[in-house]
Amino acid sequence: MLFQKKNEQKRYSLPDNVLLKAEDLRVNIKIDGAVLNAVRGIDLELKSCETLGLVGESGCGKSVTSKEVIGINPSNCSSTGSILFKRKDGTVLNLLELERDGAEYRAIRGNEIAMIFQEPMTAFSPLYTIGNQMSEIILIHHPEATKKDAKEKIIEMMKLVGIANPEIRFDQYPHEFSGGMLQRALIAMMLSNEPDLLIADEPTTALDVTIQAQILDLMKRLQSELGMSILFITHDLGIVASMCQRVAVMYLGEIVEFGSVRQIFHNPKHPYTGNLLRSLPRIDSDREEKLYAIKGVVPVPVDLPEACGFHERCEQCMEGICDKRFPPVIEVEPGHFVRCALYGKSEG
Amino acid sequence: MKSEFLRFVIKKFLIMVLTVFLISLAVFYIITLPPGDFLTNYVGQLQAAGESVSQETIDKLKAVYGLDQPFIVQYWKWVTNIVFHGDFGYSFLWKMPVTSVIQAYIVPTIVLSLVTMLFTYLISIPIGIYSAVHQYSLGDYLFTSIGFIGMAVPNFLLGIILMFIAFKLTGDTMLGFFSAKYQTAPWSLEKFIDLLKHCIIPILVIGLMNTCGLMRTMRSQMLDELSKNYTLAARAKGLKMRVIRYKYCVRAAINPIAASIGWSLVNIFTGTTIVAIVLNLPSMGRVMYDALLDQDMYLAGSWLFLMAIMTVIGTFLSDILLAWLDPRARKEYIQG
Repeated sequence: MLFQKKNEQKRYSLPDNVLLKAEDLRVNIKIDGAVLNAVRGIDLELKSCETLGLVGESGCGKSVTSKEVIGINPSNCSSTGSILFKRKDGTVLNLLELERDGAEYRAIRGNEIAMIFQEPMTAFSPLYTIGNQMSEIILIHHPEATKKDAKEKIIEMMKLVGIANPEIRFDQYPHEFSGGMLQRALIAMMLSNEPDLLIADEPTTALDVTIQAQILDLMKRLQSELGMSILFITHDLGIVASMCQRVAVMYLGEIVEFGSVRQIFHNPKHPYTGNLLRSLPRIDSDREEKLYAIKGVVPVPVDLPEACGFHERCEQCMEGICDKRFPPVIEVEPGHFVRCALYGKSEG
Repeated sequence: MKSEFLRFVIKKFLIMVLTVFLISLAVFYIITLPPGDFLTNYVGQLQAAGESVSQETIDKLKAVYGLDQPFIVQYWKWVTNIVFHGDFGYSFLWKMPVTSVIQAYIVPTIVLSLVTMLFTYLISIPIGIYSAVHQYSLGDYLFTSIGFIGMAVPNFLLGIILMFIAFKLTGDTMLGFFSAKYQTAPWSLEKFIDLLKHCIIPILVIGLMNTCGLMRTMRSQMLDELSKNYTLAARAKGLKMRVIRYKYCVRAAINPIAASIGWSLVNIFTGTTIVAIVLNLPSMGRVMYDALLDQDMYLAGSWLFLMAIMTVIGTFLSDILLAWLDPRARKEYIQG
């Protein structure tokens, strides 16, 4: 059995410029006997050094997807499909085959795939100094490193992300940091092993707007200096426009539209994407006009019918079609995919 | 940082001294509060026995015990004797100084309390951690059930049941601290083993309720910590679950328990009264109970006062422990 599995692992390969590829990824969450279909078969591809935006409303499965990539979903989550990841040495692994907290996965986490979080204030334990917690990431992945080496590296990283007086900051506790400074510290820590992939789960949502801009600029600068891919999870389309090259729009555990930022923003095909863009406040809009809101709420993903997930809220819903079967994925223009029954019929 | 911490400790200590002074005043006031005093009782008993007691004798006795003086004078005498001579007054009931009575009973009481406490923490913390880490497993359900039963059963009832079981098994009800044949025997290994045997039931009975409570507290604290965001971040950097659990979660979950360690000792101390009566243990709880019934004011007052001092010292130690364990509390205490 073990032998077979090893053979299987060798078979995987990815094109040269592709770092991560998820295929038919499904994540189910068991809660009180019910099964929540949080992620319902998504395909995702992330190129080297690109920033891919994953957007959608709360509860659409974007956080679960990102946590599945780095393998930190809680134990009541189970997944199928595959997530192929190209390691630094060029070998390609299916991350879903690894034991969640096993040695192999842990060697990748924080080293080749890193993650930053929505609330930097809670990402550190209040009981240990920032330096202590940041040094760990060096000590885990470089067993030969001494505490002194780790401290040097961390202080260098703190300087890189713009934390003033890093020598003093190193020995301070999280409650002595501001939210923005903590996010900088978290970024510094997570990037200290120069990972190929950084997952950013709404890293600026909990920060105020000026700090937001600083953190985004910092991430862009670090990306060009260190050369990494970023999977950027957000519900803020403004951030997507300024940060990302490509965007995946998620709704109810599915990717409903995928394309370049230009394609999505200028030529949205899926009604949901269109609605999302319409619900953005615009600086040149008529003041009297009420801000657009998508009607209804995201359904709870339990025992969903065989239908388009958006049909109940869609203004262009076609009865007998949208509520009767899954819409197919159509490539409407090169690199621009949409999962909607409005398209494809005319083309074939 | 070090000098700030020292200043914090000194500040806390001064507050503690002030608190103890106020408590001594309150305690003395309370024990003189009930109508009558030990002499009235004593004279009543003598008269009931058919002896005639002249007013002269009563006045003489009152003067000897200082009972004819006003409250403040009595209090002042009591406090200065404690502070300058270590003299807590005279027990009318035992007809000897209060210090001698306390000395005779305090050692077994403290030993029993400390051992019980150790037992409580050694059992409940690991079980709490296990239950949280293996939430909803068979083991968790088992410990949870035992925990709830343990909390629900009144401990004197448990004492009686255990005595019955002990009697069925060994023919000895394990009452008191020693078997009859070792009661007056000089200390020897056999006597010590006998003491240990007799400690099992009291420790179980006194410790069980606290153990179950602490177990639940530890479990819920631990679950709380395990679900916090920092565990996600720690996993994301590649840390082992074991390290996350013990370096981060246990350390954080244990804080509230550490903070309560000071007064939980007093709880065990005072909570043993009923158990001590049921199990016929010569512990201070029993002595205190009798002293209160017979209005043996200096003994009762001294005992109350000692308990209060222990509570205050316990709180003081808890504060320092918490400040030492939790950097946030340290900051708050030192600056606030």
